Amino acid sequence: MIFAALDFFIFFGLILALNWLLKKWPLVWRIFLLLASYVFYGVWGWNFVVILIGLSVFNWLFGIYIQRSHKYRKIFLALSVGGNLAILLYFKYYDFFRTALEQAFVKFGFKPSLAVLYIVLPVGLSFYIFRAISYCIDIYRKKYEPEKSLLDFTLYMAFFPQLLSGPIARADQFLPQLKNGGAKNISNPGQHIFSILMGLFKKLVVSSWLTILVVDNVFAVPANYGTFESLLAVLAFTLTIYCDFSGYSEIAIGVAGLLGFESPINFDYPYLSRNIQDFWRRWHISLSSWFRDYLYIPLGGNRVGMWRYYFNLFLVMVVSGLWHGAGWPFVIWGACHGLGSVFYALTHHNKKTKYFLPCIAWIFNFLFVALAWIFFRSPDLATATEMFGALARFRFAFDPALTGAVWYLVLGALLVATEKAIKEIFCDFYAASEQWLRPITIALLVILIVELSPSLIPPFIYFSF
Amino acid sequence: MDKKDLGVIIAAYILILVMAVFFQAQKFYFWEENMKFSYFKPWLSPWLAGVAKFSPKALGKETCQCKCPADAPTAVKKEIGAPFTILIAGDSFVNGGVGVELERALLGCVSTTVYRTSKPSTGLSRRDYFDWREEIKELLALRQPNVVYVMFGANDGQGIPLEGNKAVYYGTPEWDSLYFSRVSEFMDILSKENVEVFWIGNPIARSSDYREKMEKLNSIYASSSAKYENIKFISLWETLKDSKGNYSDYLPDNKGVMRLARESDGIHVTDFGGIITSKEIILKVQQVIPLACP
Repeated sequence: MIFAALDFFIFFGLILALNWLLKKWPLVWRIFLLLASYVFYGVWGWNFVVILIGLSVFNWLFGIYIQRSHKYRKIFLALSVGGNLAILLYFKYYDFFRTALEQAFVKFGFKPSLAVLYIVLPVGLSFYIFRAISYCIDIYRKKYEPEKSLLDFTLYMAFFPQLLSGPIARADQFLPQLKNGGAKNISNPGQHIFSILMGLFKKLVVSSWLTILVVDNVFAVPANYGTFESLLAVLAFTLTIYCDFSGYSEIAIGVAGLLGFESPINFDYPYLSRNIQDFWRRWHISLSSWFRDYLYIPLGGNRVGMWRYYFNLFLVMVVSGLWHGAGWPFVIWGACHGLGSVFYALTHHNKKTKYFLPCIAWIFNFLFVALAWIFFRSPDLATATEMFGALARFRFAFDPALTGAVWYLVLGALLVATEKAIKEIFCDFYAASEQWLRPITIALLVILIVELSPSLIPPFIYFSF
Repeated sequence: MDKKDLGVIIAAYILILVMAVFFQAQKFYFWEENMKFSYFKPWLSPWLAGVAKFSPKALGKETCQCKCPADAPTAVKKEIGAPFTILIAGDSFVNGGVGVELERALLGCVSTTVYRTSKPSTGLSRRDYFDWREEIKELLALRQPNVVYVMFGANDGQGIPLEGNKAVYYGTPEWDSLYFSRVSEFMDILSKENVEVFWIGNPIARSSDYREKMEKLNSIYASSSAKYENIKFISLWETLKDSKGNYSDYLPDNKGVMRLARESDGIHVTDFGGIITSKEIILKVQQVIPLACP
């Protein structure tokens, strides 16, 4: 089930009502939320639910072993992290490594013979495996006690608003919210409703139209397009990926909020950042903070020698790229951001760079991020190269069929620029408006968003990760 | 929970549903249709009467009048030669591997300009959703092609709505006849232009039910195109079979490395699958027109 669909709208209506009704009986309420989450996930495939349950029990047990054992806790940690990574490697990377190895074998004259396995990646696997790893490491670090209730832990792993694409909530953020029947009221309902509406608009209108009108076509065969068309596609994808993923995150946060759960924020106006490190403090925050806490800091972070520090910055970004997808373009995308981070670390203390006007820094950073997205969006390196070639071709013809995309690009850019102000206006209006006016406003906005959306909605981009 | 907050949300839900049913039903139905809502439909559609009004079983747009393709006017054919202005049009197959890799391959040929237009989730069955007759007329006028590739069928094995809240159900002789007439009507439009048309058939699929549907549709395209001088049917049925003649997700590349050729749905093809199909298509096309490709 996905958020931007009528089936979820009906499903969530039932869950929302029963969630608040069953809170009087905390055990029943938690069982209900767990079953609802499994139904939500089971629509994608019941075999995926089995994997999720297996991983939940595995990590719950290892959390207890890590805490109880003094002598073997390191081994238990290694087993738990290794087990999780092995599952991830098998489902997500097996085919990538098999093909790469076989192609290498062929080059050296060997006949490839590795097993061909038809593996379907369970949607959301990368996200809930990262939740599980963070839990085991935190227990090892004695940040908090392991969760005694298997029910609560399985719910932490499966909680449907955060299951498919995050935000990657930590156990100490989520589990306390299950205790004693959880929240008694929705804090800031206006804000959560706004999150859902804004998320829907970003996904259904801006992201979907830009994908259909320009991104899919131009990125498929860039060699068939000129400079303006390619530039339009790059800018459109820059906006599309933001609207798609931040839209998803906002719906997830809003949905969880209406159920009485607070979620970590995932985006903080990333395209307003003026350097690459600042960008990663604002983009997919729950993932970048995960990499900071569980990879960058264990590697030594910045408390090591200069070259090791640069290497750490670079490596974390490359691994982050590989996390996004099993393919060389993702690795190169990560490496670009790694090099960008190293470049910033090398230069930001330089006095000359301080004279850089903020707007110049913003433009450079934005262009860097936008051009790096080419690797992220391209299915292979040849297509990415083709895209750079198309940008540099200096062929300025413009296909009139792409004109519509320009308008959606402008609309999306305006939205990104004024997002904060729109949120304030809506929340102020919601707080000040009469009770009867609120449902009418919400309903009208939902209908308007549906009316403005195309009839076919492309899937959320981050579902494939 | 604060009763006021809950009241606002419940009222909003009711209003959205009411407005959906009375004002936006068609839009919501399309939205729902594309979001794989089918598992709720049997019990929900009657409940959402307004939305159900637009369901395939109830929607009425035309009567079942079959036109024999033999009666269709045939264009006076002129020789098609370089430069080639090529239009590739069709459903999600054209949006994905088959269309993309064909576009890429054709771009590499001598004197070609290639345009590709795809509308996923469309076809010839559901004109109420998307009318390809109008689209192809516009595309022919806009792009002025002399070679056209079309590919349909992936979404066509479903009921066809008729006038008066009736429908023709898939699997009946009436459906075969009506769909044949729709294909012929579409081919009529193409046959009136001085274009060489290549109608690409659907490849073998993983599910046996779906496979049967595609075989039937392919036979309709093949028999219908045989009536037109400028329309050739290209079968991809055998192209994506494995060495044993079965459906396979993985196929060997030219170095013998097994690579994923089909999408997870067992219907669509990956970029690698598209490379295989584009080679086959171009080989067959070269038997008809002087297309010089590396």
